[in-house]
Amino acid sequence: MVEFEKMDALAIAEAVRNGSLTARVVTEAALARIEALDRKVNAFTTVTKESALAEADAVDALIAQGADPGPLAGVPFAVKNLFDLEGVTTVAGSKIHQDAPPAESDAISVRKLKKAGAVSLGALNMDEYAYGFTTENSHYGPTHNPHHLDHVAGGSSGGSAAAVAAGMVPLTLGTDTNGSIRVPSAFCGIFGIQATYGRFSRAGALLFAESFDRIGPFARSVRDLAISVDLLQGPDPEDKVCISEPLEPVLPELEEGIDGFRIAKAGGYFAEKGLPEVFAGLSKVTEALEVSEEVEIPYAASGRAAAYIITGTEGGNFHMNSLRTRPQDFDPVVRDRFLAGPLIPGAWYVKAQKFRSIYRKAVLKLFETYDVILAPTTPTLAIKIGQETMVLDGIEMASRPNIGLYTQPLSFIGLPIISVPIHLPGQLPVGVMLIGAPHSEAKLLRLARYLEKAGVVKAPTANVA
Amino acid sequence: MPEFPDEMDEAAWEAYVRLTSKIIDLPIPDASMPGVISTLMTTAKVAQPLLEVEIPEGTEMGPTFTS
Repeated sequence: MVEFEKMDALAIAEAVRNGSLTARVVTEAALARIEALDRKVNAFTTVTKESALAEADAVDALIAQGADPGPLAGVPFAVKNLFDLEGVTTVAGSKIHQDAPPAESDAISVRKLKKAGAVSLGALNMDEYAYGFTTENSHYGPTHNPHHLDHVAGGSSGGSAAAVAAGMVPLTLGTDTNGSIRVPSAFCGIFGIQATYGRFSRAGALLFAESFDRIGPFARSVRDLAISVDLLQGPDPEDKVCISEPLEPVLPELEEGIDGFRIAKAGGYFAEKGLPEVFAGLSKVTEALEVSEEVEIPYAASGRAAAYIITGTEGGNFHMNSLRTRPQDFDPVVRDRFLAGPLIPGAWYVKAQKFRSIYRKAVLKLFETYDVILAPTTPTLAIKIGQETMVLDGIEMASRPNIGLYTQPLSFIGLPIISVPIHLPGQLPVGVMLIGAPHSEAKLLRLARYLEKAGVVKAPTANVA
Repeated sequence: MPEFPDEMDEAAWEAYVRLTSKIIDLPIPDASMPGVISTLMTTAKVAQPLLEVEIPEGTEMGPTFTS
């Protein structure tokens, strides 16, 4: 059987395009791996076996006809179960949406990947309505971290990260509101990108807090992230915040290096509270880049506060009708968070939104001096499934809300951020955020690629045991 | 800005939850009351650095960014 699980998406596509593999063989291998491993990992909530094989056969037929099957020919992918997949009910991690009819068409992002030749294998587990950092879903069970099954995969796109880390598929899509791409990328030791707000259309994805939400890819190589950015970007009238600027391909620039890049690491708030293992990961990156300059991201604690308040308020109000009529059908932990949202004082919400303008200006000013700022993705390694508290900086605190300590302050001002994976001996993986100015994805990907080539960051397929 | 989150104990938060949920017609199931109170207490604690910031008069809200 083909060892596709060790290949990245572009390697698979190249093999399919040049005829050394067929899309059907790859798809069958992916389905077999899901069958073998997902009982342990629980990344998938729906596997679309029949339609996947049909899509794979269509790719093979195009190749047989001499037609171009696209840059992702035969690449298996899957999406967080809040993306519409034609014929599949979009449950968004909930019981309530199980009653909804199947989607009539694919989300625009799914259509774009399929048009490029990729083969959709199904839908992936997540925190209910994307409100969580651990993917401990009471309706569909917890997703397990492929690197250590007793630990969480992170959330809310936990299934998306775990499926890639376990080698079930090389490419998945998730969404990020307050860290839901970055956190699971870090915990599962893979790459994930939250692109500039508005760069990718969210049409056909069920949102959580609209002014935060971004879709984005997970992958085991930087070039797979880059091709995904190129395929997913572009204007879309179905998503009113999707930017209308011309496409800016990033893959052609990937190998151009980082000469002249001005890089600093975040100090202050981002240098506090995290575990030593997390800062060891960051040091590996700063040492490789010879970065010694430290910069303080202003008002970071206030930024986290504002993000926290806006998310709680908007999320709770979004689900108000279901909270009134079907509270018993929510995941209990998520229900309590949602119920609290509409009770947050309106004055706090308005202040948070006003602060948002000030904060964005202050943070953007930093990028007049720096191209990229580095920070740890999370303050902790992946916590254990069911772990209620953790100790940071000598203080015991609730684990779940504080996993987003470093991602939340950067969630709602539109910046592109890549989480790159660091695998240190004897510990679970950690992530480092590469943070840039709006529309600087190409620079961030070049830096990630530089680190990947240097062997500093990598995403080996987990040995699921 | 008063340090009111520190001044409010669990009983005060429960009274707040019962009153505001009634005003906005959002019933809180008994089983959810401890979780809702705990979430609001955490929110109040996390909110403190924001509540301490002075916002200049005339500052507009920045709900979305499309550039």
